[in-house]
Amino acid sequence: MFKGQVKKDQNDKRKRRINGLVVIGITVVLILAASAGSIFVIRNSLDHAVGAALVAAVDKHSVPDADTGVPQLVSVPVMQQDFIKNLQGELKNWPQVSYTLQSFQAFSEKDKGSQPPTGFTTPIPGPSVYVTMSMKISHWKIPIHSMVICKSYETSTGTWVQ
Amino acid sequence: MRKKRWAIALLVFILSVSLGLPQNVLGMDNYTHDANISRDNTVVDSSFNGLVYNNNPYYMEIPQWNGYQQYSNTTPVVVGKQLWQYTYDDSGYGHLWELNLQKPGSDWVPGNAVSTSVSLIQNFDVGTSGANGEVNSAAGVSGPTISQGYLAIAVGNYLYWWPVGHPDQEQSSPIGGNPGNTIQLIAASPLITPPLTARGTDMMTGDIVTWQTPFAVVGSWSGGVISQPLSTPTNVMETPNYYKTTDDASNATNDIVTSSPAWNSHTTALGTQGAAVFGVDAAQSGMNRLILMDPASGSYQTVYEANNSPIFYGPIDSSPAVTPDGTMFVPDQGAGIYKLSANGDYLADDTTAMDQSNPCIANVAVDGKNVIWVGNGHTTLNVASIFMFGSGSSKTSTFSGLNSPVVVSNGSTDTVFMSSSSTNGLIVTDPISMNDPAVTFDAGNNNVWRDIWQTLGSVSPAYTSVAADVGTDSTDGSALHYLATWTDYGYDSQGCVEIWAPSDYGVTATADPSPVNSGEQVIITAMPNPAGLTQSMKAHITDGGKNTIDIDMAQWSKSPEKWLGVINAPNNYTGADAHYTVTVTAAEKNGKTATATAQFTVNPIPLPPPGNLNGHLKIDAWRRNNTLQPAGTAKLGDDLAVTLTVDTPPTPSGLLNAQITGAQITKAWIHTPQGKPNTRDSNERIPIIRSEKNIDLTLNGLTASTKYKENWAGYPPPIPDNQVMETDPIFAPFAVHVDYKYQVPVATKAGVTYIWETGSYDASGNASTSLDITGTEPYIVNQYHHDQGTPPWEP
Repeated sequence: MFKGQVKKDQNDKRKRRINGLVVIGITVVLILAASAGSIFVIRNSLDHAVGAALVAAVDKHSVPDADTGVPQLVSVPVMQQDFIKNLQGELKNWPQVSYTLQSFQAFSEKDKGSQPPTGFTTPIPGPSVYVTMSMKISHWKIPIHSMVICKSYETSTGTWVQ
Repeated sequence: MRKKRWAIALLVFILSVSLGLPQNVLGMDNYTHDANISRDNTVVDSSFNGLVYNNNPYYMEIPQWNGYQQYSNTTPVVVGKQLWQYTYDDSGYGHLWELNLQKPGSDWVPGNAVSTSVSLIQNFDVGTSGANGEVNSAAGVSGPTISQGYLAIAVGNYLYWWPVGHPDQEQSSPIGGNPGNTIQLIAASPLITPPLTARGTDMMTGDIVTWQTPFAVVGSWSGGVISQPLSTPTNVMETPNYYKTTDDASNATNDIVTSSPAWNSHTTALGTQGAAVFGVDAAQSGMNRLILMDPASGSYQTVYEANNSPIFYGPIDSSPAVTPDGTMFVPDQGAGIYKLSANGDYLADDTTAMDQSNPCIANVAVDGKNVIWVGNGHTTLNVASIFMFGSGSSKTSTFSGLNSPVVVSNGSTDTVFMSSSSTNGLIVTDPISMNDPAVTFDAGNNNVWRDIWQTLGSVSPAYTSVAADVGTDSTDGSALHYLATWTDYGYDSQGCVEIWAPSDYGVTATADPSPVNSGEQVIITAMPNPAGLTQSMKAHITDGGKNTIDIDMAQWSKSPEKWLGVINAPNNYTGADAHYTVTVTAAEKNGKTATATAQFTVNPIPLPPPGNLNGHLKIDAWRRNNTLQPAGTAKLGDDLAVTLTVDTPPTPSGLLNAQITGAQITKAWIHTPQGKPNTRDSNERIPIIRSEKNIDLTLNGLTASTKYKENWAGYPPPIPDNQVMETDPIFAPFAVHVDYKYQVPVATKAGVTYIWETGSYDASGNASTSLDITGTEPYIVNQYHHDQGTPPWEP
């Protein structure tokens, strides 16, 4: 059963009800239509949760290089732990077995232009973090490919370093 | 002044009395302390081994008499604890003084006058003589003879005598002389013979009686010789015996007798009692001769020719010397030496040092194996074997003004003492082997040989010899081994008996300059006493603590003997004067050592003033847009421009007129936080790893600077802008080298003067400031991207 996406907004309860209806609807749709095109809404919600968890983790583990301003990703293993922790917060109504972190990769300025990890299409833009996950909902597997691009803003000149 | 007058008087005298006189002479005779009537001028002292003497004498001043300074040409006479000195003055008086000898007092300083007991024993009023009264009759070179319990002395025209210790019992007899010779001048010391049989007439009975009495025999410039029995029984009349040079030579009015008679106990020429032997200066007759005279009978024998030829080349002014077997050695005025048998038979002569045109009036010494004399016009010392006399002699030279030699023999070696009228002073030889003196004399060239002589520095009048190895202490009777002579101008320019005492081997030392600066030369000078004995010398320098220096000194000069050592004054970082003691240890050739100490002071090396130097640290935080952060604040990514400024250092304390001449930072750095992103794959939750680092500053005089990044702390939005998030202290330690100049006192002969010296010191300081961190210039914006390539669901 689709139990709905956790969101922290004022309309949580209402949305939960809506989600419940959506799940029921989806179930009906799945049952009735058995069409893959109808799951985009769910996927977007999952993307949002992963993105929020990942940005929060990268925020904590990225610092600008004092000399160049170029973002530096630090303590990547801890960043990964923080990401999972954040994600668990985002998906607290989901059983942990329902999602699996498949890869967590950080890249630096020197990797700029290199081939991205499998499943991503554009070359590595510079300091960035790539996450590959698999969500399991009912008998469905929903792959998640997310990334965070780190940019640095120079306040005195009002320019972006990257 | 007096000498000038004397010289004029003498010149007039010579002119007035010459009457065809071939040459003028001043006869002399002196003898050593034992009044040895054989006139061998040798003192036998088996204990005399390696004695060395002070380099300077003690001066025993003879006081003025009625305002007249005292002069003498006479050798002191010492018997036991007493020393007699005959002097004269310009008032026409002669004087006999008696001095008690004693060990050097604790306050006696060589080279200075010493207080001693001086007694005036007798005055002799003899006035002047000569055609115009030019001759001071009190002058002359006579001296007393003390023997057989009597003291006898000849002054003017009289023989005086008295029992020793009883000058109040003085008796006198006129010596008389040749008719027409009115000179009342004595240049001889009386001979006091052993007791001889005298004859006289008992005035009560008219009988001829005989008795035993010593005779005094002495000659005069007048040409007369008296032989006087010194004791005569009561009521007995006797008359002295006389000899006049006119008795055995024609035209001999001015033939004079200045030769002190010697006693020859072995001669049988005049019977069995022995004879007085003296020479004649045949200034007028030219018949220079030796007289053997029986004092008791007055009979005499003239020794003049051998094989019908004159024996003597020149006038005989000095005393013959008689060996124990009666052999006689007779010096003439030109230092020709003649060997005669006890009876006056010519045996040999030595003319190797003879120069008749250059008078050399001096006695000879005979040590039992050798004859020792000065020759060649008082410039050489000569020695010849008695046994081989006439077949060779040895000679050393390079002297001038040598007076009669006096020998102290210990039975195997001789030490010869000679005063001189030149700056050679009092000369003492190294021991000379009696068996083979030539070994010493020929040991090398004269210059090398000369080096082992001691020049003790007295200047004696002509004819004044040395009484060597004389005296006993008046308190305990111990032998003093003194050397005694006379000088007209001694301490305080007074007539003085000079006494050299045996010296404990000693050394004096000085260290100059003092005070001295660290590192500058200090010259250690040491003067051993007596000179010529030192084999090595070392110096130990210490401040009493761990600072010590040991050096070997080196001989610098031989006359005066100086040894030098040079050190660099040790560094003195104590902040106060450092006092060093130099201990010089001199080692004599025989291993004896002596030490002396000297001190010098090392000025302190000026120390930096207490406390750190003052410095100021300024940090400007430059933003990337070339604007400055508010003072004392910075954000991550700012360029920090650091400037250290050190105040001009102060001058060292305790220095005179100190001025800074230069100062520069030699080392400076900032001690600051530094950071770098934590790129380590670790589990640390630290985005920036911080550390404390030192960053060197670029130096420029008393300022130093650098630039670096604020890279250790950044606080991104949403913190309020410019809120102080942390404050970091930053330090700038620095070292400074300071040059300065100052004035120091320098000891000079003219006193202390002040010169500029330079110095430097190194000091340090620590400037500090703090930096408020108010944010970060760059900050990160992380953007989430959904990759369009996300694959579709996989059911």
